[in-house]
Amino acid sequence: MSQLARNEFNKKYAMPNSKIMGTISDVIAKKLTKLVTTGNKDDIIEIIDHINTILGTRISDISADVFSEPFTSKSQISQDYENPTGVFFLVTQGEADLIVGPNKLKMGLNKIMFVNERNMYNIEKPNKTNLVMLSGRFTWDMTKHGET
Amino acid sequence: MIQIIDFEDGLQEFFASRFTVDTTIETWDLRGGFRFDKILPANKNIIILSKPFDCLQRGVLSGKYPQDDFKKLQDWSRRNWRYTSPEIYEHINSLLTQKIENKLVIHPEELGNPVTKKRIEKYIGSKFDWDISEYETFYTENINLR
Repeated sequence: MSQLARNEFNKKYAMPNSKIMGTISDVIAKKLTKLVTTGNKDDIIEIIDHINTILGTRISDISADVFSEPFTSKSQISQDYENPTGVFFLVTQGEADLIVGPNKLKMGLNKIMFVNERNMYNIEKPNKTNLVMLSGRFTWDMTKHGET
Repeated sequence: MIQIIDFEDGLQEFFASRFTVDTTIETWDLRGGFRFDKILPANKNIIILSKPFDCLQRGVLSGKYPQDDFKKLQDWSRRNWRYTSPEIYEHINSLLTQKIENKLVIHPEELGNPVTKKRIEKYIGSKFDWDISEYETFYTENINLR
């Protein structure tokens, strides 16, 4: 049932399992890294505005942090087939992989990576290099973001 | 003069319209930015403790954030972030405890209680035109939207 609902939902909103939505500028990447490592939030509005410019929609649940130890995050999945939302991740320093269903995707630096949260997904950080990562949620707009 | 303070898209205008005395309205925030340095204590201050995400949603419901208006969507995102971050609540707390002395703090959940109406009238020294029986509709449209 879940598979059917997901397929129907994905088709309705032209929503892929994952997608690179765009790339932030080097300047903003540096500001995000600085924000996370120093705790100085002076640039946060500029960072949000920049991501907003790329996604062109409402973004929420923004969270950013630095991770030093290797980890495998808990797998997550959403059963929300009403609201076309998706999570996104943005790495500005370090290495991590995004596991979405059977696929393992390298999280490229400064890339905004969308995940269709109706698939099981989690993050793997393989080493002790600092990982600076921002996550958030946005409203998926089929005309702006959909797969054609 | 009575000053009514809430978040952007809060209940300040609604409150002001129910008073028969002169009022000014103020907001803690605007388009995701702080307004704390603009807020000066008035003789009497009514602080409304709306839930910020209720206010944001009221803005959405009023048509303030159309899907095709990029700048407005940006504002929405700024506000959403602002309300999840502790700074705004620290500022409000600081203002309430250190700067605004004469105040009446009202939680919207209390509006269904007749005692609240009497408290407001006693504080402002005038009539507060608030029909308790209308509370259910008001509550549905304005409180616990998210």
